[in-house]
Amino acid sequence: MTDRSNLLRTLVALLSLPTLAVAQGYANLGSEAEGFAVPSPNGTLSFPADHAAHPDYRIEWWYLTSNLRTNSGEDLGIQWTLFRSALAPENTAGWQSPQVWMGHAAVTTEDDHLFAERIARGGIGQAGARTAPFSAWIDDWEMSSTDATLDRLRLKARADAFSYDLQLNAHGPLVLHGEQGYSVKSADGQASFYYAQPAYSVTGTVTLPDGPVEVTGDAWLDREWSSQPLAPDQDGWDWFSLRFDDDTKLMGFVLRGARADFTSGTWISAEGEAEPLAPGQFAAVPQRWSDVGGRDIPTAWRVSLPARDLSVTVEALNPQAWMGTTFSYWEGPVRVTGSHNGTGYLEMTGYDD
Amino acid sequence: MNVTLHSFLRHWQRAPFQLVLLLAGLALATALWSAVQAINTEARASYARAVDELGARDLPVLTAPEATISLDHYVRLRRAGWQVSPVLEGQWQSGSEAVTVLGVDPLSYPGAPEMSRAAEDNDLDLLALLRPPGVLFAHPETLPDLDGPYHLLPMEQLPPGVVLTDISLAERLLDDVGRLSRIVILPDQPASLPPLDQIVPELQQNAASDSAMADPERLTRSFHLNLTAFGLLSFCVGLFIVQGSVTLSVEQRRGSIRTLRCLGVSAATLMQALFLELILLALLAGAVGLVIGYGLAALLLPDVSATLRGLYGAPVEGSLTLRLSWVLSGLAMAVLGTCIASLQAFIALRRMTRNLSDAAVTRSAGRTYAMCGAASVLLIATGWAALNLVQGLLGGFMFLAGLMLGAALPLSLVFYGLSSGLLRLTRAPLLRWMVADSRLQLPGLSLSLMALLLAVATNIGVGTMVSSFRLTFVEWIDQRLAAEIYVQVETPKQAERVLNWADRNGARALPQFRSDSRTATAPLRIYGVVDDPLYRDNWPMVRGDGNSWHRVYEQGQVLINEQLAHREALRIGDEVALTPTWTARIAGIYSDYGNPDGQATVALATLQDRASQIAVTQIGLVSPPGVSLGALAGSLRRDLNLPARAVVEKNTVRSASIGIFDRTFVVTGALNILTLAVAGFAMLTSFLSQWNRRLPQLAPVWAMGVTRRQLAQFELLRSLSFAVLTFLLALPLGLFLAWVLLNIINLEAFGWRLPMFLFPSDWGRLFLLTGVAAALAALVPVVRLLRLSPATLLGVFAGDR
Amino acid sequence: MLLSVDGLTRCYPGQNRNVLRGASFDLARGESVALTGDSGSGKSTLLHMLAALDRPDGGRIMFDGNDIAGLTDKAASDLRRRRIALVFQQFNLVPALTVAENLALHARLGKRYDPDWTKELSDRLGLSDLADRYPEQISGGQQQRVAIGRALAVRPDLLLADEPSGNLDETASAEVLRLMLELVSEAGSALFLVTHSHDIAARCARHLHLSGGRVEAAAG
Repeated sequence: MTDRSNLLRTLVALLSLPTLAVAQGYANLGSEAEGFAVPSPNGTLSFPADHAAHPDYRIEWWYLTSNLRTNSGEDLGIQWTLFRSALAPENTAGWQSPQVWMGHAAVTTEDDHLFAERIARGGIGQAGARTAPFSAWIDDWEMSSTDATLDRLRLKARADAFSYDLQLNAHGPLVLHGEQGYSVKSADGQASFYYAQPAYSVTGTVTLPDGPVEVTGDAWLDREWSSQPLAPDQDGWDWFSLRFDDDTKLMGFVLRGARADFTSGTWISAEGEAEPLAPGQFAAVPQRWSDVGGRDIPTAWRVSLPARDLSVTVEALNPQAWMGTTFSYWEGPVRVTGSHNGTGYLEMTGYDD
Repeated sequence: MNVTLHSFLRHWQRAPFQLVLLLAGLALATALWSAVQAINTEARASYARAVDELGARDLPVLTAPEATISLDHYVRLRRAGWQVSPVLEGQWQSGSEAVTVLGVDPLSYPGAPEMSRAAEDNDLDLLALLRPPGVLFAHPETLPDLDGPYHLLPMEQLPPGVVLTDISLAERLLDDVGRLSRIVILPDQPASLPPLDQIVPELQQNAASDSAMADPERLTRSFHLNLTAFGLLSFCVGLFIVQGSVTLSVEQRRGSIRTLRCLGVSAATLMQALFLELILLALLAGAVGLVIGYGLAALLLPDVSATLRGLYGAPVEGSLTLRLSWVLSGLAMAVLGTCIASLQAFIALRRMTRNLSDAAVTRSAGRTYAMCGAASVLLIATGWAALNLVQGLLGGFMFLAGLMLGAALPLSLVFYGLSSGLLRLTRAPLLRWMVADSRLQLPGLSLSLMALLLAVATNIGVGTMVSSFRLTFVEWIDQRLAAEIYVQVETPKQAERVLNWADRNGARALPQFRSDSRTATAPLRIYGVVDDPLYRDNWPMVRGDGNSWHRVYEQGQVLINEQLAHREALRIGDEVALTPTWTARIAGIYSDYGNPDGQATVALATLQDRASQIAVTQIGLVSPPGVSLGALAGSLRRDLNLPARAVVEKNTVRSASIGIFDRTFVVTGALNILTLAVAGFAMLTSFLSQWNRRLPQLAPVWAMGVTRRQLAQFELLRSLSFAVLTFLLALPLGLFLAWVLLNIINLEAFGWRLPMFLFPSDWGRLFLLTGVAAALAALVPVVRLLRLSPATLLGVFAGDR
Repeated sequence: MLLSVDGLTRCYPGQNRNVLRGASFDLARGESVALTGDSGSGKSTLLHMLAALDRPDGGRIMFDGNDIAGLTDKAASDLRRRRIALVFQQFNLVPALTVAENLALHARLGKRYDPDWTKELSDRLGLSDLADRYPEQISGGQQQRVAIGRALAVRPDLLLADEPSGNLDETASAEVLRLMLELVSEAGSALFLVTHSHDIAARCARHLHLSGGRVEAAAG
């Protein structure tokens, strides 16, 4: 990926939420939405329509992470992400379309981390997201359903070193983060629409360089879209999705700011009821740092949620789970021990400088 | 060791002129070689940059020879996992100029980083590449021809006349939405993809793309091989100088060597000292040579890049980059060359250290000459074998190398025979002495005479080739430009208007319809022509008869160009596959200089019948009787409101083509003269290196009453005689070289054979030039002789030498 | 009188000592004269002047009635081609030519080539078997015999010899001298022989000695 394209970097700068801080500085965009729709606290989500793309918002993603175990009992994690970025709030057909799509896929085992990237123009059918039936795809990577819901998904990705083909079955309801899906991202009020399906059980095949292995496990899908960047002083985030043995779940994130860190999250009961966490309730403190390709990355954390008597250690399955994609970040499966035990995923951005 | 080396180096202090000669010879040799290398490297680097950065060139592509590629083909491939990149190409009329638009997707096109870089260099927001109004990239020469509300950015790597842009803008410019010209298959693909012919059975995979950006490396390979051959030749000629100087320096140090030996310095130490000294000198001279070579390359490069751009459309930047690899290889070449050229000196030193007494002049020249003869036969035989065994251009050049060296080696033998014969014929005492004396000098002079022979032969050979080529080219272009006015048209509608206009105005129209296809290995363009006597009368045929055109018009047969015939080994009467579904019988073969690709010509009706995508880009017009070309062209422009450049008179095309041709060989001419100069320099060195040995040879004659003026005249005469004889021997060799270049090298390089013409006036000029070189080379010894004091000559007879 | 030398002076550049300070002597046709003197006494310089190869600072050299001290290079060369021949200590021969060619060369150059006389010289000097050899292929004594034969083939009025046997051993030296003296008289030439050896000088008709820049008759 040496100097593959500055253009790609620029595009990617628009794509992922963590990098909105970078986009912030990007002259042409400014900090306001320039004709793009802006999430409002009064907006209500409606399904299945909101499973598909929102081209009038600047950025959007379909983000799936999964903790799996092979027949022989080895842990591994997979990631499947489709990003959408609009250069203008239009949805023209053909090459003229201002929509740009990017896919990231990864497989992480205890001692290996494989990843790949796809980029595509919108408007021609190479990538997109639609309902009835639901499908989100880029090239031959696809997350699809036979109906308009997200309840039963097939997930495929293929790169030169790995591929996977998984069947996902939801056993709980969709979870709306924040206020009915309106998720605040800074003390200044920047926000996104954000919902999730955190309760998939998974079966399928993951093909590694050594050959295919059968896997089972759990998966968590995040859907988020917005048009606003982070607050000016925020330069990265640490995001946790944790699944405990009692089937309760915790989504929490720390947006690292120069003035103060902003933390938020959602507590999800075993039945799938969401309880938004007020800013500051969720806390995560780095415990151990690893050298990942010359960068110092916190790969073990102390996560606490005093309101729930939760105090756990979150450790990376493979500390080297660096996504060396056009825009790079750390993303990998974690093990949880302490007051609660379980598995989950950790994403950390803003460490690559 | 230090002491030995020091006393060795002290020699040069006493012989500064000799040192200058040695350094100059080596520096010249290195300079010519490294200049050529610098030019080649620069050109190749430019191609490589272009290929890497604009890159789809070496990648396989999918095309649809019989149909169009739809966007759906592309999406199907992508959805199947194939990593591919779309290209839309077409002609776009920008203002008065037609350019080729190359629309690509910057998100996947291999050349995208170069687009980003060019945009950043011009402080343009990268996203502007994808968004209206859009960005057009073009070669700086092409930029002024473009207009429109777009960002216009220069990109040196693009061939002139090509505009690179985002595919969304290309669709709008070309008014061609939802279609692709080809699909590039990217290098990295996921594992276990479904096969292409299951996904897009209509598309055909080709080894490499042909397009507005054909691979310049392929086109220009022979040009660079030519340059390299020239550089190597110059280097060899330069080494003759070094050889002379180094051997002389060892001879002259006979005294010090004897003394050092007596002082207990071992033979090995002496050898090492000589070796060290040579390395030092080689590095010094190599460095100087690199500086000169760099300057020379910088001087020649603009011409070369103009040539390459003009002739092949290959992008070469006009400026030079200093590369470490170039410096190192130049120095290595200097050191290596010095070592080779000093072999004789080492042998002399070894002999001296073994036998301290003066070795008698060996008259056993016969054995040496016999060995030369044997080596010569061997070299020519090896060359001949290479020609037959080694494929392509390389074999041709190996043959040339063997031939040239093989022909040069027995030169002393020839001279020895000639002088012995002359001695038998003449009784005049002074003449006899002169001839006998010259014969005695042969071993010392032979290398520089060989250098002269090579230089003169190369001059004649390359000169004859270029002039023959030019003559043929001019004649050919006159035949080929059958019509009097050429009109460039962009669309079928425009063509229709021109044809109607010609009909109304009584002008004969020769429209050139064409369809692009490909053979198994290379692109093929098929032209469809109307039945007009101009074709029957003028078309430059290599093979064919009066019935060829008849068979084309009446029987649907085809004429092909010489390149295609050579490449596919086709003859008249053979069948050639023009498209996967269209095979035609060959009625004739025509010459088609300057075109690297295959071409075929059929009757227009046949083309319309058999080919699917027919374009017309050019219409030739013949003016009705009594109407001047200028008037016809003028009213055509006026009536149809055509831009000036769309209507071109025959003579304009003709002189432009010849202009390009002449520029191509400017460098060849310059190198020709330089090589000759180096050869003259080599002669000078030989003369000077013989100087000290000359005195005992001249003194007795002088004592017998031959004046110093006569001796000087003799010296000049001798040099001129050698030059004249060498020239006479070089002439047939040069002509044979020309024949090889025209019939073997050209055939391999371009696919065409050229008739050979003789240019005696050129020989006359070269003869004079050779004479001047020889006279100049003799000048220093002649002046020395004239100024020689009797005391010096007398000193020979007395004293203990 | 063939040669009449009168008051020759010569100073080497850079030395304030005159080598010759008014040397005078005469030489008759057919006469053989030896000149001895210490090293550096100016013997060779005097000989070179007689051959018009060098010029005196003062004095006259009358050769057959003409002063040759001021001749042009061309006239002096002409004189050497036809009338004055030289034999030196070494490097007398033209390396490019065979013994036979060397023998004939001077005579041919002076257009005085007489095949019979040359043949006789060759025979008498014992060179007939060496005719096709090149100079470096024969011995030093043989080389000097060729040089003498070549000089006498011209039948010069004057033969100037500068240590002609200086490089040879005693036997060869004696033989070369014997032949030279014998043939000089047969050719009718005068001989002016420069040598450091009084023994050799004694074999000439007259013996002069150069000392203090002047020529005087040698004692004995």
